[in-house]
Amino acid sequence: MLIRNAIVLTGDGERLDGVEILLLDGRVAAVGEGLERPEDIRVIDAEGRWVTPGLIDVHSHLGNYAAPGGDALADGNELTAPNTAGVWAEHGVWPQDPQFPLALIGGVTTLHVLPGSGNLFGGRGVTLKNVPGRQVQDMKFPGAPHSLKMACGENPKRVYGSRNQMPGSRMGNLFGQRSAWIQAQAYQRRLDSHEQALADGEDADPPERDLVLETLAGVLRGEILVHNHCYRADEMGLMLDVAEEFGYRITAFHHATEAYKIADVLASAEVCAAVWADWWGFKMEALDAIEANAALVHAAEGGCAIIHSDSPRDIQRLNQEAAKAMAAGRRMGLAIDEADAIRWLTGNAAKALGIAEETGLLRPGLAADVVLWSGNPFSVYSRPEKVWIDGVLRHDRSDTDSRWRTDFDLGLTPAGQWEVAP
Amino acid sequence: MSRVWMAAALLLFMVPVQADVLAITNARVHTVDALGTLDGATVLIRNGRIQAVGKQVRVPADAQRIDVDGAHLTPGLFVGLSTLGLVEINAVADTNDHRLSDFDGGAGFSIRRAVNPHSMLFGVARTAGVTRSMVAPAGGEQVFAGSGSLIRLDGSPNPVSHADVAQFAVLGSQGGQRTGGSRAAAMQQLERGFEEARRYGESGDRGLRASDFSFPVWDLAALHAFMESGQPLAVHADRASDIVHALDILSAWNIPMVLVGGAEAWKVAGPLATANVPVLLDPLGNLPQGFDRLGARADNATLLHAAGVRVGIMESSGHNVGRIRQYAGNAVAEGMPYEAALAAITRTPAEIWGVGDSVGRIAPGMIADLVLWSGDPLELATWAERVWIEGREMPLDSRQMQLRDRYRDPASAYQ
Repeated sequence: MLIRNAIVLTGDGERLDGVEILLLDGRVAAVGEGLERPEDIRVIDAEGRWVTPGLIDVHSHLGNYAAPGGDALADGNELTAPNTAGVWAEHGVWPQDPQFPLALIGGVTTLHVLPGSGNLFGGRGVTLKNVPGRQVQDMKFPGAPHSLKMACGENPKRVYGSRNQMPGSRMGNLFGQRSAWIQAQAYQRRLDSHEQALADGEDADPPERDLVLETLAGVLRGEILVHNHCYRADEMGLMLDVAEEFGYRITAFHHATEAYKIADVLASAEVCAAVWADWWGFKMEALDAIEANAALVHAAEGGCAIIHSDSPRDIQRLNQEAAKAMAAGRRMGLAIDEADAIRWLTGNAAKALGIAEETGLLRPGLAADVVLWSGNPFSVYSRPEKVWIDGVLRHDRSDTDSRWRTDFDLGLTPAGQWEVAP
Repeated sequence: MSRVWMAAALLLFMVPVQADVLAITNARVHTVDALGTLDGATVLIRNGRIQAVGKQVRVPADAQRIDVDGAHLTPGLFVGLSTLGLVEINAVADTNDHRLSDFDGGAGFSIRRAVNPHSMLFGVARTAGVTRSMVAPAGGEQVFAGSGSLIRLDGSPNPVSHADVAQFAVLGSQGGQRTGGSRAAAMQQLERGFEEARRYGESGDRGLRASDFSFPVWDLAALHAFMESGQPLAVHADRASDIVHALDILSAWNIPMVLVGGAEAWKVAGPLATANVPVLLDPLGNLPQGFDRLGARADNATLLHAAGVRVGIMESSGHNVGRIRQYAGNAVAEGMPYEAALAAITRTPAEIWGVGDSVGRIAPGMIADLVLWSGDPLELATWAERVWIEGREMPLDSRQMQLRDRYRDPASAYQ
């Protein structure tokens, strides 16, 4: 398939006007002018409309906190111990969550579902393609690494402190985290010496598997990416210290309402900040959130800003959240344009999820995860018109009959049926 | 931090007295009134009121003149309902005054003395162009939540411009939980309240005893006064069937109704229009979150407007009231006419709460609450350039702006 006459935001800071995009076999084959193309290929004329990579939400609980909600569907926070690194978000994802299709209508092609922040170690997160499936396995992003959700700040100390259990303070948070990493290091040493023993030709029994420590050791080996819920600048600094002490990397701070206060520090540590555009004040550690947060992170040399949703509501309009963040930057005189802001939802997000070789950019070889917008994607009036995932048209705004309806959506009050006569 | 805020609050009151006569010229004026949108127009303000609007307005020699070079001018934004001034930080319990937990307060509960005139949220809201809001109690254990008041964000010591202008009630599953476990009980408690308030009122000096009533006498006195006042009962309900029952009950008692929430209101748009019941809603509230809201959809506002229902926009928090522009813009994207969407964050809420004759429009005689925008007022990339409340220009400053400027170059923030 070929999309012609488009304004393309590539997702890595570039804007190309009036170009063509060639999609072949589920991948982006080429982007540019006058592309060579197979005969009888399907051509879509974008008529000057905008095309972006599919949007990526690095912080979602869809499927884990599915609609219609309530205790029966609350599966995103294993609040039974402060370290539940052994639980996996994918084991709680309900593929019939009716919120998945709504996110698709908003242009979201990939989402990272992670455990909640009530625990110091919440568990493993999973990256999903936003496609219908009977099982979560049908949605899993092929080859995407697992993540580890960590949390600092108010949530863990509130949850466990209120039970007279550790952690009950920020001091306890750090104690709990460092203690766990010490265990993880010991576990890794046991794994290493077992491997060494095998290499030496010994007939050694492997250490007993421990699911908690397996996850943490995976982080120490660099196979699992740390996504750290953390609001305050000072606490992010402490988390960086812990990471250094135990030799792991933090891939992204999430929420990071005060990232702007240490934008330079985060940039030089090569840690992304995944933030909201305008949420603030709902708790003490969110008091200093400002709308220019993403813009200031972006403005730091080498800074990596991401706009996330953490919300079934805002995941439907990540483009609008980015637009507000962009406007706040412009309001303070920063030069930020659409080509910059789209990175916050695409290229940077893919990098933080370890899938930058697969999606997030409109570059040859990457997955054909593409959105054709009705107008400038940062306008409140624009909507995704077509959304492709791996080259498959998954959403077409003009074709309401073929919309993805989950099992839960079936049989719910079709329009007109319940209308009450005046 | 608190000292910084104190300083900001002091600054607010030290803004010099403005010229008595102000002329904003060369504006694209969204009157949200009969004149529609005027290009190259002048708005003349005298003593805090709008004196004239139009392209041919003569500007008196003594007027302070501001040429805005074609920029968009709208009425100040009016949030249909929020918790502005009632909740400073949600997770800090002693800064929350919008709901009751240990006190069986009902119709007699008034929120007006809880409003914090020095709330940190006011500055943030003003920088987003918000000038007024309805604030109301979320209630406790009764179907009646108490009375709501209108506030203005002008920084004055008394932010309440109109006290106790409506009574609030909670129906649906939430109302049912408060009243014993069934939504039907919530509706019966509503009716019983009206019935007892009527008897209470009729008893006059004969003085019935408290034991004659199931409601506290304190609440009945307030409810009776409310029923005599002609003020509306604002009913929280989402499920279509609850909305229809509420319409029936209130029509039987001849009490005007405002629907709050109304996720499934589109299903009963006809009856709402016939009963002339306006709806305050969240245009982004399309999620089927909860079984009362399974019919929620993104074009609720559009369908209601098309059926002739007046639609205003609300925001459940106080912190993010600036989002109402985004909500209105999305309503337009989902098919609502632009003028109606702009009215939903200016004129319509003012009318719903009974102050449409003084705020919400740019017309002669109206209070001069005005916002000058950097572009299309409903667009995301637009911001408020200047804000006037009652003709007085507001400083566009907030904790957030000060933090932003302190950390513009983070490494030197403390050097």
